[in-house]
Amino acid sequence: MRLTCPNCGERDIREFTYQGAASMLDRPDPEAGPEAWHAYLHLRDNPAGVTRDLWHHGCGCGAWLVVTRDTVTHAVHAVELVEARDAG
Amino acid sequence: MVELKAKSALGGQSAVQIGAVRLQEVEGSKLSAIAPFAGVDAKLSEAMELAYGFGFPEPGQVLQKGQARCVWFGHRQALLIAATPDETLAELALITDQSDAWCSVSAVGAAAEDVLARLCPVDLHLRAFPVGHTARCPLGHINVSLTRVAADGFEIMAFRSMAASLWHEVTAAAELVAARAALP
Repeated sequence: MRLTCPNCGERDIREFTYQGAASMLDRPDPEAGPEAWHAYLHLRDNPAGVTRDLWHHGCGCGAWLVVTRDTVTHAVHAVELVEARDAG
Repeated sequence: MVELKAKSALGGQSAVQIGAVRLQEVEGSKLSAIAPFAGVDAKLSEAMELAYGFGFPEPGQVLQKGQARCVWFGHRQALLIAATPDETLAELALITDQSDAWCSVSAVGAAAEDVLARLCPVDLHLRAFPVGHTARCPLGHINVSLTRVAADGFEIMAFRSMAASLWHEVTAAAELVAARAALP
């Protein structure tokens, strides 16, 4: 597996660390209540198909990335900076 | 007052010539990391332009004017080499003194590219990695900053704590490349 880091270009998987689902970026309001926080902390989708997760380019530029990939075909559709997502 | 002696990261390691590559520790430059605050990138580039004659580097870029050099050093980070951080930058970026925190080794010679190609999983061909290009990448298991300083020359920077490992990796690879070149 290779990821195309927006800073560094196409790099080997050994340079990256997997963090978890990209839904971790959508932090609920502190007052959102136990249901929302339970879902945020513990519930994850496990799709056969397109999924989005967080990767860290630790042995490279150090950026946090949102990777959109397909668990069935193993295709990597997009690699974006977390900041770009925040800006948009 | 105690008299302290400055010691380089490789502790006085002399240069070695292995086959067609010369490996040497590069010593003593002042290093400062520049990490821009959010939303002031353009202002920071302007301030750097005024102070040094170059702006903030794009990913993979090395900017130089006279002795002063600025190397892209990671996501929203650059390393200022051989220049004193200008006061005007302090409001626009986080500046930390990195002198003595890094070990720097130069690899120069016809075999430099082949030696590093054994260690770094990036395309080091001159057309893909031209003079003045830099990358953060692994060298073996060490995270390094790799810069091409000449058509046949690279500079490798690693954490000072990794100095001995870095030297071991590059000398071992250089010996293998030299051994292969010596085959009949």
